[in-house]
Amino acid sequence: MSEVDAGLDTIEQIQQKLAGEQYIADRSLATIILLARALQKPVLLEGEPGVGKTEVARALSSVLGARLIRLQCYEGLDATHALYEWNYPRQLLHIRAMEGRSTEVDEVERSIFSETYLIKRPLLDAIASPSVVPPVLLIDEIDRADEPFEAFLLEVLSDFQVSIPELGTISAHHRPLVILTSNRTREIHDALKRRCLYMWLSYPSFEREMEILRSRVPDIGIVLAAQLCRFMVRLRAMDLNKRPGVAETIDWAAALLHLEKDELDVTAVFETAGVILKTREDLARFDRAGIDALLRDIPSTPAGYG
Amino acid sequence: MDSSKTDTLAERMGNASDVLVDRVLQFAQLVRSHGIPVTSGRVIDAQRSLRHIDLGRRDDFYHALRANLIGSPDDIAPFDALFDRFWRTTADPDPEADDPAPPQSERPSEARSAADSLGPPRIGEGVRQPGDDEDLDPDGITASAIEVLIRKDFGTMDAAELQQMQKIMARMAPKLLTVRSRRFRAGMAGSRLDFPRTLRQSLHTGGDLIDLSWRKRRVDTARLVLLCDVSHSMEQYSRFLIQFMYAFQNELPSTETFAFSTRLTRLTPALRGRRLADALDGAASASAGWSSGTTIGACLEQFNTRQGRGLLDRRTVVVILSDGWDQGEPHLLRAQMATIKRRSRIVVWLNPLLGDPRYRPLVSGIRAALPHIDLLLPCHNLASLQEFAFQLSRI
Repeated sequence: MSEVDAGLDTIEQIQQKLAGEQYIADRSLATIILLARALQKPVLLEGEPGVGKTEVARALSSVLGARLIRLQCYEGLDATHALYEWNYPRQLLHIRAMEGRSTEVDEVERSIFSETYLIKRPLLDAIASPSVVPPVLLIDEIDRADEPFEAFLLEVLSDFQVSIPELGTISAHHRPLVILTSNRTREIHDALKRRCLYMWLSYPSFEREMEILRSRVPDIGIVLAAQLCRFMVRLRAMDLNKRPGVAETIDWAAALLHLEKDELDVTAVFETAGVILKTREDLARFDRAGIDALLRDIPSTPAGYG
Repeated sequence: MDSSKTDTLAERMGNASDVLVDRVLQFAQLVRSHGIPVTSGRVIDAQRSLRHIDLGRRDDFYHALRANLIGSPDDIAPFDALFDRFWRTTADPDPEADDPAPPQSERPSEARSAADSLGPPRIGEGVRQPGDDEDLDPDGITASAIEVLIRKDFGTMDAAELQQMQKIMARMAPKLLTVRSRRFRAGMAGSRLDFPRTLRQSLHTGGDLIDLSWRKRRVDTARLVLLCDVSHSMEQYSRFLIQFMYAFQNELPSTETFAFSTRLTRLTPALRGRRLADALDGAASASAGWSSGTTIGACLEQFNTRQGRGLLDRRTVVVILSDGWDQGEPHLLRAQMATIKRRSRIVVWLNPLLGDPRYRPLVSGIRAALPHIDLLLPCHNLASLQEFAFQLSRI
């Protein structure tokens, strides 16, 4: 357990505190966060884009009062961009400055390969953090990195220490809380999965999305909010190239409010479809007749929210 | 898991009750026997987790076990079923009594029999010819036998030949890869400056960068997506397609493999890092509708909208293995092929019927697909697969 008491010792407390940061977590997610802190294990969050995986880390760091360190993964990401790099220009300047003085080569080497010239990238940054509150390390979209990087990451996550040939070994005083996210465009290696607590985040239920929406867009009327969320549930059941996530629901609500709509109708949806559908093919299929069919039977007074 | 391990675990679990520790162990074993890869490290963490939750709450208990034992959304449904069955609140805890899965000890023979019907024959069936004075290669197959085998149609091979074939293919896969990387390594184009080394060398010349050190850029291999027809019309080739896929699976780590007939099944997890017999067994059980009719268009549509979404990009080489006998609508197949073509780098169609010189692509399926195929190649024998590999290395 962390030495600093953030009041996150029960599942209910975690849910409550996260809600205070506008993150509505269901009980399973709160359980996993509790376990991640208790067992000091990383969490692997998998799910479709837009279900709020990255948001978990952001909200959690706010709740804990911890620094959020983010490593965005991409194809070809390697150790120099994830761990550390030497500041070559500064090193060169230093060598130039030493010129003319009768300094031993060994001594110059020692001085230029010191911590002053080290550029810490996210992983080292998280491990070397001197803070009493361990940082939250977000390793975002791990599925976009390649297998060699996964293997490298596995090593780092096993020991939480890094050895730099010129400097020696740096180990974490306090293990950072690690959250990995994946959109599952590629299967993550079993060895890495085993190291983590696993969580599959699906699209929120109607009720949960209502909660999220009303927490994030407090000005929205209950009628419009309920219509929006019902519509999104139906929309996601469609065969789309890119299904809209929770972020799209929130953006859409904001757009509709801006246009001063307080109810969902065919025209309102048609005019704002670009906010929720992001590919040309999906938009092309979304004509007035299609919208009308999707809107059918969506009540204008929300059941259970009246 | 043996009893000694149980004891160790119980000791390590200090304050959890021994009964619960045992029960969780049994449950973990049950989960593992249903194909979810649970390691003992994860079981220990599951046990540790239980100390931090309210054991009186079934949902928390469930989430704590689930987070530790599964690793894929595909595992959720089977896990839920097992959880409900095992952790019934009322009944006497005897998981074996109503567990239809066979005990561990029976698995190997079962796996082999299922694999036999599909894949390679049992070990030791007429591979070595005693007294053969020809040069034996490391697998005990003579050079001249290889020559003959390379040109023989997969559909006409007997059991012994199939087994030899499998060995030749396993050895061939790494070689295909060296062809690729050699091409990539040539020249300086892919290199970049190794600054730390250059800098260290420069110390001896007062900071002047005289000797430049170079670092090779990492080779980015293309991603491969294999879509294999396992329907009845392809049955005689399916075992080789699977073996071919399997060889690639281990050598090209970012390969994704799918089987299709009337629906699409992702085989990648079943094929990953296991013995071939187990993998084939897994593939067969994972692939519903094995050896029945084919609806290629609908399967490719499923690929494009579900599993394949996000898998294709400009580095992806898509390989489809099928004879093009499609019971579905040609226009659906054409549209799906167009989508695949648009999203990927190269589309290769392998068709075993191309081995027959009289074959003309007249089947409506293949005609619908043709406009969106970059390479149409045979795959009826090893020689044609080598040609395919060569073509692949030039992409």
